[in-house]
Amino acid sequence: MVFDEDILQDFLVEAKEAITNLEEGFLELEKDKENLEVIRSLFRSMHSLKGASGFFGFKSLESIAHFSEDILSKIRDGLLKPEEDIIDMLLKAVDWIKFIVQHLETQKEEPIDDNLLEFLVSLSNFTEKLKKRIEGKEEPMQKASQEPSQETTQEPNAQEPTEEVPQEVEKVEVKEETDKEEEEKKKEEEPKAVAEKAVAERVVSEKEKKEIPQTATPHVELTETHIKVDVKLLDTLMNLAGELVLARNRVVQLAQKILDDDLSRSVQALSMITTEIQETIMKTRMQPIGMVFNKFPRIVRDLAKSLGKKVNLHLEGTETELDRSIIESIKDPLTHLVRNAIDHGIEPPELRVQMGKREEGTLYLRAYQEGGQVVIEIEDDGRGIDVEKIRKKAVEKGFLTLEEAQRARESDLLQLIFKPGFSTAEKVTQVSGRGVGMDVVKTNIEKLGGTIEINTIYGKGTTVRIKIPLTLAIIPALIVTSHGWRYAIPQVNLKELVSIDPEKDLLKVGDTEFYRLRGEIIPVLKLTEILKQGSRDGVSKDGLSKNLVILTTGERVLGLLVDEILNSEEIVVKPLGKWFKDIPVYSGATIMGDGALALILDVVGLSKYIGLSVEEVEKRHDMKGVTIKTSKEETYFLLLFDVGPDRLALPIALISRLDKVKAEELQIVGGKEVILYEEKVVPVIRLENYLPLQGLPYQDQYTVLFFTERDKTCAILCSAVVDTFETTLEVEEGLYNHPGILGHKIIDGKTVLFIDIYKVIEMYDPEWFIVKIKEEEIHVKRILLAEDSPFFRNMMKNYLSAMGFEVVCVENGREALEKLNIDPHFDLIITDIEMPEMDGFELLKELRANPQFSKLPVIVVTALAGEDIKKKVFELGANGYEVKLQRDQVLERINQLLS
Amino acid sequence: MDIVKKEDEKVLLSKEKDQKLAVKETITFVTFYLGNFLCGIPAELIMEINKDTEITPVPLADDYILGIMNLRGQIVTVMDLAKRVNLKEQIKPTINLIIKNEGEAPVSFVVERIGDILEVPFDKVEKPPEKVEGISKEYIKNVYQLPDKILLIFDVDKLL
Repeated sequence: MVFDEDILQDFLVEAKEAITNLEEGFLELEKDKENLEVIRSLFRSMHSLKGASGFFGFKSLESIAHFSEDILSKIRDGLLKPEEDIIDMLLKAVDWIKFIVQHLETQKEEPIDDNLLEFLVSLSNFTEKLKKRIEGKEEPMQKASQEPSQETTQEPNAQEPTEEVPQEVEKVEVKEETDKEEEEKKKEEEPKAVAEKAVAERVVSEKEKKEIPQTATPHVELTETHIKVDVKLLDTLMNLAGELVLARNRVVQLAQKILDDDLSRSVQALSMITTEIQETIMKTRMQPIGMVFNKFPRIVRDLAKSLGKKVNLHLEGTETELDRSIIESIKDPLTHLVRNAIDHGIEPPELRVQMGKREEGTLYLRAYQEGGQVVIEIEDDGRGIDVEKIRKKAVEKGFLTLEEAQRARESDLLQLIFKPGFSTAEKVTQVSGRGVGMDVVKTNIEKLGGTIEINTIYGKGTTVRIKIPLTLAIIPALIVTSHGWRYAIPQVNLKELVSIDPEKDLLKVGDTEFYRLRGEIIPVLKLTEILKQGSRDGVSKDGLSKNLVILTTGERVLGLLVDEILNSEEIVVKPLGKWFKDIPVYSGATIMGDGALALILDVVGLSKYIGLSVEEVEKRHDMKGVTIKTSKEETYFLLLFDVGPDRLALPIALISRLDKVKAEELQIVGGKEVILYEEKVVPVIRLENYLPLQGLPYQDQYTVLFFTERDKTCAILCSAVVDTFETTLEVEEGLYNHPGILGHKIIDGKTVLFIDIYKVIEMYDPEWFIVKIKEEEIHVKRILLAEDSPFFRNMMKNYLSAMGFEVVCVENGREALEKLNIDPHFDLIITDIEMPEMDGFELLKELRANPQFSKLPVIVVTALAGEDIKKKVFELGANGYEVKLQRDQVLERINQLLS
Repeated sequence: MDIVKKEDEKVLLSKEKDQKLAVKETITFVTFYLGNFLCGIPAELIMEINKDTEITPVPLADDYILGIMNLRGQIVTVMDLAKRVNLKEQIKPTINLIIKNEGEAPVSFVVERIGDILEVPFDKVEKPPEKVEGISKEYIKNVYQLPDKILLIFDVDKLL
């Protein structure tokens, strides 16, 4: 039979393990004949060996296992005592098993060996003998006295025990002597049983006699194909490899100066070998996570059994590789989490059936790589976590005040589980111990630089997600300089390199500089300024940075101005000590080819300097209190500009371009004011024509803000750009009630009006946004909009209404549900995520849990995109996920869902 | 019988104690100068002493961190010891004192001048005085009176 290499390998590994177990077990049993545990374990090993070999059709192996298992079962059931001859026979069986396994490994099929066949027969007979021994146990004494003579003539195999007795003499205690005597007596009974059997046995025993002078059993050494190595040894190897590389580099440098063919060739050989050594050593440390996962089937089985639960374990992604040291460190946390899942998560079978679930609970252990991290998930379909219970417990135990607890969102409450002293398990079970576990799990994970989070749906299940960075990373990086010092930027964050003239190409708006990259406005940071570093050789080099590195954090794009761009290299990330933990711009250091050090820049940390990633900063720090993120906390970049004496604000993200035009460039064509910009005719909008503003005085030069949707562009005229400002979009409504004005806010002592640009453009040209002619809808579609920020609420309501939808607004999830309860006739729900009292996630859950609304299309809108959130949102049953400001895409999605 | 035995044991025990005390009576210190102060750190904590090493500065780090250096493939944090202990005097750091740091990469204290290796009797070590001028007291674990000056013994754990 031809087998899949992998399956055979698995079998062989298992078989070898079983063999080791068996050998150890039998030896243990010899010393401690009453050890039931060992007997049971031996039986199990033999039993599974039998099963597996049966599956493969390895008949001989199956037979040996079958007979041995038989004997073991009798011992286990107390019908037989594990006497010497039995153990001997069983050990012989193990030897033969070894022999077969070794043959299987090399030849992929069972051996055909006479000795093997003889052994099989003798084993079978031995088993028969034992059966008789059991039956004849009631009359040992009688027979014994009657048959001393018969023994010598008919029982050559009695020689065996006598032969072995001298060996055993050394170990003998008083007991064993009597055992031996009993054995002999028992052997005497046997020939008495059936005459034919005696003949057969004689025949057999003669064969055995022949066997004895030859090798009784083959001695086989099973070779180990894997060995254990101390991780410290590998560490040392790694460092040495690194130093070898440095030395090699120096040799290469020096050799380049000497023109000698032989030398060059030798150096090249040296170079190649060194590279290979380094790469191979790197590989030794990476191990598949399967190594840890594979322990779990057994753990899960035993645990489920002991708790009276039925659990089905699924392992996914076992080939995902991790550094060895990490694999060691996650074993314990994983075990604890799995235990928790089975203990507290999965319900007892009867309860599950009652709830309409399958009797068997399912547990998923998943691993996969995602963006420089390894993600491990432990998912169960158990009872989930009762968040309300946590809420109450939090107040009881003093972790939160009543108010805070009321307003806290699910994700915050779940994080409390990780606080020391917080355990909601009512019964402290032996198995998973006290809640001491979870906080220790979190600490251990954080020690590896990872994060852990819990997601749960009450009644449906829980997922614990662990993310660990690939620390022993060799990452490709770009080497740049700032004031003569080298820095490394991970290539994964790199988008583009641009060579610029900082005087001309950068737009300075207030304190921040911007660069226009093909229509996109990107904030720019100067590396030398962030580092506030003096120059290496004492000479001030300000203004010499001409290289712009365009970076991305995945969510935001920014530009970094550096002095020089050197080259791209693969670097090894080395962690920095504790003194540097709080500096956000570094993610480690690396040793360059020439032995000098370079700091590795952390792009997310850099983006902090523009204040872009407030959310990401929060993620890094442990949340001491429970913070509620509403529109109060979300900050955006606004552009403040003046139109005459009035000051206005727009989110920068809406502006596609910024430029200046001279008054003379403005023309009137076809009754409309336009400018010629980059060979296109762009209509110009004067805001005072649509909004209650005082208006633009005549200026020689105006600043224009370009707004582009699809392929149409228009320009908004303003006196000057004041500044960019990072602020929340909390605006006050009511005072300036005019279409096009969303609200106002006092910034720096001046009233600033927030404009709804969509409305303004619509007022300018109602045809602007219409692409197709809409058919007359008999039924006006109703949309429920849940959004706490008045700015966005109004903006979206406006553009949705403009498209002909009836829009009803609420300010948070709770209100949305209340509204739906009173008036369920909505065609679509659009919801924000960050809202007080009930956020978007919870709203989604509630909707999907309610049969009335489970099919209602829901679009989740957010200010900033993020893969994590997107995934979660779809997991919870959303139908769409869009960015608020991208009106086009929101509308498209709505159309898609409603058609 | 028993009582006698026990007393014998007691006597034996105390003899042992005396012996032990007798053996462990001095600690070896590596001494160095920070300005005019003679300071010491137990020799067992010191990995090596190094000169002429290239330090790569780490901008935005604390004042007393001079940067990092490459010690045979390990990234070692370099600390200006004078700044760390708030030495009033200005000194020119020249020599690296590499300190073992259990379980992690070693740290280097940069000092001005290395002194002698001193054997200090265990029982002659005293508590630091109430006021110490010109240097921060919290890092000083003990002091030892030498004939012509005082040796300030640092608490390395606090320094790290």
